[in-house]
Amino acid sequence: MKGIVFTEFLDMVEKKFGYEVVDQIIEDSDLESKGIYTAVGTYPHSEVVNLLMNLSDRVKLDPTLLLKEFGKYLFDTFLASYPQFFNSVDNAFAFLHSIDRHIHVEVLKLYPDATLPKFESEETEDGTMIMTYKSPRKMAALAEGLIEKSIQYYKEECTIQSENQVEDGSEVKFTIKRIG
Amino acid sequence: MENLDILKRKLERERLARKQAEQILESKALELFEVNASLQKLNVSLEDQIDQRTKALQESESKYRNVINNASDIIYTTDSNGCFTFINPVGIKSFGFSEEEIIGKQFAHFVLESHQKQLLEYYINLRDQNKKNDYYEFPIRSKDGETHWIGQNVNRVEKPDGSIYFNAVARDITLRKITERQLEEAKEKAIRAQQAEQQFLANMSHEIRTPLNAIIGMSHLLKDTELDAKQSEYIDILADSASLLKGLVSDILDISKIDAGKAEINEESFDLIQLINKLSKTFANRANEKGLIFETHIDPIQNTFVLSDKQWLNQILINLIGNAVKFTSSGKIDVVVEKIKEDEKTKTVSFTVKDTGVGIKEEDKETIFYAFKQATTETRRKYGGTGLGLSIASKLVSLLGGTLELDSIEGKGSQFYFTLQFKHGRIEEKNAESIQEIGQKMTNSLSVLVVEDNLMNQKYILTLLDKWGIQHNIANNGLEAVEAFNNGNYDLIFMDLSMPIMDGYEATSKIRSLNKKQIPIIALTASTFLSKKQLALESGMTDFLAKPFTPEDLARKIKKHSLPQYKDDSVQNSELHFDTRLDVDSLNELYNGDHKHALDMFKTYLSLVDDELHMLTQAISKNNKASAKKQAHKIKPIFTMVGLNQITEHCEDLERALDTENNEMIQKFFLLIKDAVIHTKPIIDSNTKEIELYLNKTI
Ligand code: HEM
Repeated sequence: MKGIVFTEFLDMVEKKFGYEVVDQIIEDSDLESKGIYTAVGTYPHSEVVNLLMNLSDRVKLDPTLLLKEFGKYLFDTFLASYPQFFNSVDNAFAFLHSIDRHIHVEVLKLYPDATLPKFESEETEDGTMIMTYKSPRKMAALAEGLIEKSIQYYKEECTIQSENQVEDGSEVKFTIKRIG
Repeated sequence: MENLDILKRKLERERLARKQAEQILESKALELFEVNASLQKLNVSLEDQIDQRTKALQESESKYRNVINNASDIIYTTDSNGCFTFINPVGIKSFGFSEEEIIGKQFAHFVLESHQKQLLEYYINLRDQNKKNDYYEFPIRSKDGETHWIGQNVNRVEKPDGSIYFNAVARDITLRKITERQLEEAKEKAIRAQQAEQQFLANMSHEIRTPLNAIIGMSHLLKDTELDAKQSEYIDILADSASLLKGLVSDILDISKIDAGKAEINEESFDLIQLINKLSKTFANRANEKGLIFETHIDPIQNTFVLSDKQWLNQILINLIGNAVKFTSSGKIDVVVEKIKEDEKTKTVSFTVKDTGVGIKEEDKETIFYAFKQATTETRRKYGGTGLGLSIASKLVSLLGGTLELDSIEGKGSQFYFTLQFKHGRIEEKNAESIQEIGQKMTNSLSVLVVEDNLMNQKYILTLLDKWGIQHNIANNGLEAVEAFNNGNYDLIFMDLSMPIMDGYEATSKIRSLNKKQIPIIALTASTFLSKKQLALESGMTDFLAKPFTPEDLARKIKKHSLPQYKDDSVQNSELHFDTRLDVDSLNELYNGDHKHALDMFKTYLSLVDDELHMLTQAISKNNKASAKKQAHKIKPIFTMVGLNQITEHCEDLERALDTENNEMIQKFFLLIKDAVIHTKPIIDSNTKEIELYLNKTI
């Protein structure tokens, strides 16, 4: 997993819960990296799971909820670092379609060792968007946070429903409906 | 304390993270450096490759440039406007200008004025019709003012961007052009020489034939007078010599005409078997006198009439049979006519003349058919003759589509044979009769004008006419003839062609322009050249009589052209006689022998035509196109009824012209019709009378 995910995650934790908690969860988890992350490095995916679980323990909050919050946080980071991806389209659905078809493609060019999810997206005739997340890393909640923030960004209002297609969460279907 | 530990750990983590990041950056920088290095290497090798390619290109370019510069042909390129962009040294030399003077100039700039139009067409064709390659020759003017001919193949080349240019391979063909022109001139000279020769022959034939005609004619007349034995013998010798001379002259003329390709084939329908029988009769007598057996074998043929040149076939056989009799002193002569094939349209017949005469030497067989190549001079002395007979026969056989062939054993005899394919001829009912019969049928109510400047010829004809009781008058030249025609009333004119004061052509035109009556005018001509006959016909003559002629020839012409009441029955039994200036075929088809109907129509025409023409004239002069068109349409058919089909066509032209605004055309066709109607009226008039006379006589 790319270092940016770790540095941003720990940044968020520091901002929301203070460096004390960051230090605690690093100390709690038995990390190969010893919790030393740089945005340009690459680290085992299991470490982010470890950190998340320990955070959940520490702050007594649902890990899924925390992951979703991380998604929301990450969105702002992406927006600040890669504004061109947001400017090239003018509505939320178009942006969401572009993740798999364009953004992650470009990401892979920049970081050939990135492990990215697969998104299948389609729009039904009544204007509903169906987006299916597929990834062995089972981070659909992160996706949900990112999706929510994306819709907000384009000043649209939607309902988002998620539904496991596979029980372990490696395949999740998002149904996104515009309101009004 | 704990907070301090945490802070320490945080700083430591950040320090290590920075170090890690630096390491990563370091390794990335190294990677980058290596990539850069290999890129540089790649670059160098690319440059190497480019260098190599460039060198190869330069080499091949210089190779081609060498070829182009040393080519013996002119090689040049022009842009799409035909302006020179390149020209090789040969080209520069041919054009005679410097390279700077040529490049940028249009090709047209150098081409002679007279060929500019063709040049433009050539390039436009090349450019637009996408013609890939086309050869053409142009004359150009070089700097020194001389004309050079350039023959060139120009290619239209399309560049990838769609624009075009031309490249050309050309050659200076000035030398060839000069040779060509010299050849042309030489050819023209040769043709002129040949024409002069022919003219000479024609003139000579005239000069010789005219006195010869008199000699033969006079000897005929002399024979009819009271003679003692000696005189009679002399006359016979005289007549024989004259005939021989006549034969020689016509042989030479025939040969020269055939050689000049001027021998005409006059196809007529005649009875082949009758021709053979007649010849056989003549030669059988001669053969029998020499103590020879003469036999004729003729295959049975259904329709013995063939369509061919009777005169020529007769001459071929006379020459072959005559030779056989001449060169055989004992034994037998066979004339064999075999039918090879007969189908619906043609019959193929072979002719063989076999003798037991002297034969022909092996070495002479090849040359025997050449002119003036009698076997030996010795032969000529012994047997006489011109030595042209076989040559003429052989040429005439070829003219009729066959080949004269020869089998011979020296001392044993010869056999000449040929095969001809004939079209079937039309069967005729009755044939020529004797002079006596003709003479008897001529009545003294027939009046003939003889126009002839030669006194001896005058005498010859007049004596014959007297003998037959035909009235006659003489005119010594064309002028006298026109006067005589004006003052007298003649049924027939014999007209010599070359006469002093006014020649026969002019006199005929004058007589025709008087338009009194369509009197037959028969040309008396010593020339057998087609061109003279053509001229005579054009001046308005009706027929020809070639000098020298026999009394029988003269009688036959008189019979043929005298008015219907004097014609014998055999002629009257044939088709209704329409004037040959009318469309005879269409008239015969129209009336199909119904003379009364024809007479009706001719009379109706004469009564109507003036009024109808007047109405058309009025409509045209008032510029009333609608009524003019109606009138043209109305009168159209009446012309066909009298064989003036040409005027019907003019009417149709006029009708079409009236649909347009082209007044010039309308006037043109109207005048054509008007003139034609006025001019043809006398013909219709006299033909109407002729039909009437004919009907009165037969009913
Ligand atoms: C400018 C926009 C984005 C950028 C630059 C970006 C880039 C990345 C990067 C670098 C990773 C980490 C891959 C790795 O660590 O190997 C990642 C993972 C991920 N991205 Fe994005 N991303 C963008 C937008 C989004 C959005 C809008 C979604 C929401 C659907 C999304 C969904 C995810 C998820 C779920 C993962 C986690 C990996 C997984 O689940 O397998 N990304 N992205």
